[in-house]
Amino acid sequence: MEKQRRNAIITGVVLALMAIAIYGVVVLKYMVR
Amino acid sequence: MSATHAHDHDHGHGHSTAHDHHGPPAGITRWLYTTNHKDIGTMYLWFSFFMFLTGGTMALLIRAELFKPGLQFLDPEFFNSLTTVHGLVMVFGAIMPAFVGFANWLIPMQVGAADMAFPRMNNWSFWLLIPAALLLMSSFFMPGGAAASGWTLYPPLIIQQGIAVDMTILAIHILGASSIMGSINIITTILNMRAPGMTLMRMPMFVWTWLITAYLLIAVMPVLAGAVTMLLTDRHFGTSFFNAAGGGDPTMFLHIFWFFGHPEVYIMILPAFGIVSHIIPAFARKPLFGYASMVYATASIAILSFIVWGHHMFTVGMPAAGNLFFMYATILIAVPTGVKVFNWISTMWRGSMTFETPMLFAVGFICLFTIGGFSGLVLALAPVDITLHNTYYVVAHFHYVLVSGALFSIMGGIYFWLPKWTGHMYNEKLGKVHFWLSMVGFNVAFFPQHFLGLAGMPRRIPDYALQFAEWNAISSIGAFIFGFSQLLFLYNIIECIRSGRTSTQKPWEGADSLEWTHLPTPVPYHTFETAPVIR
Repeated sequence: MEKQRRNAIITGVVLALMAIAIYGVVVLKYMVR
Repeated sequence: MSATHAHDHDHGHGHSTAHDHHGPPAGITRWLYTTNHKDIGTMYLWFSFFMFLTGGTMALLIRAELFKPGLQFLDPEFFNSLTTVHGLVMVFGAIMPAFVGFANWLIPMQVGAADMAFPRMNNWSFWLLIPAALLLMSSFFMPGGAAASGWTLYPPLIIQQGIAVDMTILAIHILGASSIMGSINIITTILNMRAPGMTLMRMPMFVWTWLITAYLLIAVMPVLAGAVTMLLTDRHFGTSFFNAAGGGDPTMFLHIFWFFGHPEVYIMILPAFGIVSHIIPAFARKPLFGYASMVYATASIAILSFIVWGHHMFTVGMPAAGNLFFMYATILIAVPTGVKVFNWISTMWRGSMTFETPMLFAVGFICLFTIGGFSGLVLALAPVDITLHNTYYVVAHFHYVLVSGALFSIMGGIYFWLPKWTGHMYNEKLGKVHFWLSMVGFNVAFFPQHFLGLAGMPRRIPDYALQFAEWNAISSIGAFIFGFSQLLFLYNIIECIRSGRTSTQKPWEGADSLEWTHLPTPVPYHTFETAPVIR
């Protein structure tokens, strides 16, 4: 159960970072042009 | 699918009546603080129904104005606001939250989990929708009225409008955050919380379609957020991302918007495919034909959806090679979509079919969504699209995909799972009347719009030339039939909840996923306190 919880948190954090990274790339791409 | 092989003995100890004392708290706090996936699913579904009626009222105002040529009773600027907010409300307020409602209700039950992976975040995802909806709707009362650029928010028009646009941008940001959190929850639940033995290739199709949809959402919602952030800085902070006078490029917004926008179309249709893939086997009393190919087709559609955005902008002056690439890539999507339609029909082939309301909606979905798919193929042809771009043909096409596609599947799904959710049966006769009125009203409203588009009637105009009068009048009559028939749907749901006759454990004999085979009807407040074992 503890392992499942830890894996769930890792998955959630990775997905959240992915979303933030995509947002950052879209805005930064055009900002630095 | 696996569910038919699951142990039935879990039925007893997974959730006995002894757990009833863990039931919900009374009053408003139940809904404000709930972390229960069923409560949150219910709130999503009611929210989306309310927004559906709101967006539908706007649609009826639009159709009333277009009933005959000449300006009737709407100011043209207000008309443009109506088309804009109707689109935004239906996409972000009605269809997407409805599917998230289904996901909340069904995914934990179908994978054998106790709840969603992050229940508190789940609560937050829902309650973010309320301020977003209030912002969007109250923008009508701002000076200059609500955003009037169409739901695509194209600059430079959108740059020039008033504070309502800022409210719309903020609402989109909030809705996007809600969608991303919902998607994180769904993916994490599916990947980490499946019951022992529930391998990926044993998952019900609805779970598969939502897993892929959630990835799409995480990939494209931040892109939309980036685009509208840049709009905001162009409006207020002196940047020129999309302003040609400052060295920017309005066409760039189209590219970024449609890089989000086309996958968004599949975000609104893949869960519909999942729902239909449950209803058809249940009423054909046969397992889903080609389960694995359905999974691969869903994934293929999702991947292809990232490389076709240019077909929304054939007329902006891309090089011919670009137009050809987007044309061929778009046509390619017909292949996995065709696989799906073939599999649904093959599932029905020689099945012991009955046509209760959910099945009527599912079969209606296949027929009408296919028409929408074919008109999509017509529009995918770059030379044809250059003529049809911005005409009512496009309006007809996407309403066939989104109304008779997404919306019909939502209605079918609600009739299908209402007995499981509420413990009561809906009124079958009323359900069938609702279906046939919707079917007739929808086709009368939207089929003539193909003719209007082919004859050259542009979209997003409050007035039109005389030669379009007849089909517009017919279209408006159909829209009113369709619109008012939804009140029957509302009545049927309320009657079912309040006084429907008690449902049996499994009212649909062909239904075979875990929520039917392993859980009593109605489902207890806590789903699986002990994970079922799937053989």
